[in-house]
Amino acid sequence: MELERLALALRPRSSWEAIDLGIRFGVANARTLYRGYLSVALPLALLCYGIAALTGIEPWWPALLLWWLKPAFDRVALHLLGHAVFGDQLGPRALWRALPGLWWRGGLLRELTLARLSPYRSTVLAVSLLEGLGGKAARRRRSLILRQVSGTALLQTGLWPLLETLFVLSVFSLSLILLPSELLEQLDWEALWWDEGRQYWFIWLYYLAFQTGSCLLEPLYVAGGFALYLKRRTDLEAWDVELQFRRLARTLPVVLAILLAGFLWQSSPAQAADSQREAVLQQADVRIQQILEDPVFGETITEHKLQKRSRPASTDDQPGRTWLEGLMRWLDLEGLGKALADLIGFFASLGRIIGWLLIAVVVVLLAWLVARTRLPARYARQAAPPAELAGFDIRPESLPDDPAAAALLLAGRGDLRAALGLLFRSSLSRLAHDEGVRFAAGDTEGDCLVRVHRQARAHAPYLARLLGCWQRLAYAHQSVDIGEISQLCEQWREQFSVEVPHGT
Amino acid sequence: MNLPQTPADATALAQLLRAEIERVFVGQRAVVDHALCAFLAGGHVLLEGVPGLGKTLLVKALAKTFGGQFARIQFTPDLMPADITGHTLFDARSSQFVIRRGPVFANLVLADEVNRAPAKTQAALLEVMQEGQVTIEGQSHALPPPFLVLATQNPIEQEGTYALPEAQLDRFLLKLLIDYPTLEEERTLVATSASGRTGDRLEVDAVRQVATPEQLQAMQGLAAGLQVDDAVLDYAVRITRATRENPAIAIGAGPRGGIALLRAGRAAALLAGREFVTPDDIKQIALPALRHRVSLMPEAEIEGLTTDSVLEALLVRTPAPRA
Repeated sequence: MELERLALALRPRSSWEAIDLGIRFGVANARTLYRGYLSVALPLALLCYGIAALTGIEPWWPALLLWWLKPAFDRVALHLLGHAVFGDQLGPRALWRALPGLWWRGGLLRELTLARLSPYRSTVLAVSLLEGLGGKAARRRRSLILRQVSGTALLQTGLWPLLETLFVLSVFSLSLILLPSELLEQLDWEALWWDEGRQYWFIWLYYLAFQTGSCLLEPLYVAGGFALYLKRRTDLEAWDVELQFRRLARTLPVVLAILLAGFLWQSSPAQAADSQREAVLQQADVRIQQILEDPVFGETITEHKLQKRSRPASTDDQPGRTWLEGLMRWLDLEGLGKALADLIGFFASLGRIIGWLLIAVVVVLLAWLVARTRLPARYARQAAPPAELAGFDIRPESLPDDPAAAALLLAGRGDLRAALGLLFRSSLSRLAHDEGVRFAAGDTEGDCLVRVHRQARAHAPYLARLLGCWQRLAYAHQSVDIGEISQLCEQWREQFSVEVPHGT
Repeated sequence: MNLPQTPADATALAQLLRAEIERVFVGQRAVVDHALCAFLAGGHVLLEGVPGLGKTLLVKALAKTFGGQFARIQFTPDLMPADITGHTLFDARSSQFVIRRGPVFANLVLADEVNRAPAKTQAALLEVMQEGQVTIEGQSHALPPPFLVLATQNPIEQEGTYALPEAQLDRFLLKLLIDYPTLEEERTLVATSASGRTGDRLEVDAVRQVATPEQLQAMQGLAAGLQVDDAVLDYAVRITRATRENPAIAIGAGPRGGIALLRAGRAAALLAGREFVTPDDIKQIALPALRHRVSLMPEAEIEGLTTDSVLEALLVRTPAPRA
């Protein structure tokens, strides 16, 4: 085994730390891992569910079948991880090519039958798949591997169904949060599952969530078990120590050579060494040619043979298309593959444009909200004042041209309440339309006064006097002197800059 | 001391009471005003606030201003109804049953941490509040007027407490929240409370008696007679009804809520020196008068809304009378 090529740092670790490392390794290689795993698991799942849908079989049958076949898919994940550990990122094409070997290699039958419910599945999978052991030797090996990590392996296997359940619950919780509350009240959850009200879309939705969770979590389960296996091998065979020795063996001659070079450098002048090196380099090609012409090295023969061209490196920067084109080429559907890849490319571009547009809309919306909350006064001035305020029509056009004169006329007729009401209404209208004071429906007289104090302080004393008069008349039922109302009418004109019309 | 004859006399006396209370109870102007409102309206008050904000001090000071009898009942899980109302004892010397009156026979009763006693004991107090009399061994005993209960609740340490049911909360005219004082108020409070004082006793020596229980009764009568225009009455009823139609409120205020608004509004008008009630009086008293009569929907609570914020929004939306 070429331990130097291992992508994982080997050192003594605890069992849980090893599982953690394995999962992190799986996440770090998620692209390779999921691309390969889903290229195998997804078509099979679609096939099973498709058959069930077409033949009217209950969806739990394909779910059960796919669950039972998990060890077969685990082999796929382990194969990918085994290569990733040595830095090889296997593509789906290479994986599909290796697939028959993976499944026909000894041990799968046992894993699908006798050992299907084994709680140590992911940890001992490497014994049959990577070490290729079978029979009694495999049994001994498995027992040796599990000797100190069986508890952790057992707990890991027990933990994964819980995580899958949690995933399903999370999906449903998210759906519940997003559903409008009116719709939620109408739904009868029990009836969706059972009896007459049973809804197949809901049951299929449940299995979709379950299968998605299973496909997302299973490769990480295998990665955790594999790391546990590597931890045991490291413990048993001291791989970490061996690796250190190998590194030392590789660096020792270099260190000695550096020391020797340093010694020689000190003993000869630098310029002389440089010129000598240049001369040797200039003559090197000629010297090599002369040596190769010696009959000892035989003669040069040129041969021509047909060889498959390797894929140009430049296409590797389009992973989705590479994978799809690779798959289609392998299935001899290159034309279709290209068309599909173009279609995906088109949708990707479209998605990108829509995404940017959405971001632009969100930015504009946020800017508008910030402007609205940060600049309330300006916003208030820009907003149109209400047409009606607590039963009062405060539109300027609903008021007489000269409210003060109209109020005075009403007061003269003895309708003091109407006169003061008109003055109050006109004042509110002017303050709302001309001064931009924002009145609310629930504003009492006191509230109106407070708002005017804040936003149009110059009118506050007049309004306070007017409101005092109005309250005495309206709420205390006390008579108000007509002279006082006349004064208020005069002051109203001064306050709101209305010229006295001739003849009044 | 002469009895107040006009609302103006009553206002002047109420302002004297307020000034005396503020000698020892620094800051919290709104709490003092609302407590006086409840007192003038003859209603009971539920005070809520963390310990150490002067709830007991307020009640003691208020009692001293009019020379009323003050009693404090510390509610505990083992407090029995008879410990509040009183009971009969067999006197061996006279061979007769004699009645021993409970602490509730006072003008001002402070029911401290009312939610610490079980429902039976709470019900005994609340019944007394409602009826204004105590029945011991089939014999009714009227409580001395004016009678006011100030019950306190602690918003923290809810473990081992018996929350007052909505029906019983309705018996309180106002529910006041006492918050921490401002920096300036706290400075003054600490300075005045810590100079020349030993021990933890609450000192209300600085408070002078400026009224009598009879005068207070007269003030209550004047407050109850203040004029209320139909528009204002209509406004109080509309506010109360709006609490039942608000989607954020599960249980709104009943007609007693509207009655409380009007009673407290009259007292607020008297305190403000007016002889009539304005919509402003109703609006300013609406929060204390309604906050304990409504229950929020669970969704609203989850969204972080409080009773006060919902009621404030409701007041902003309820049209005020204009004509």
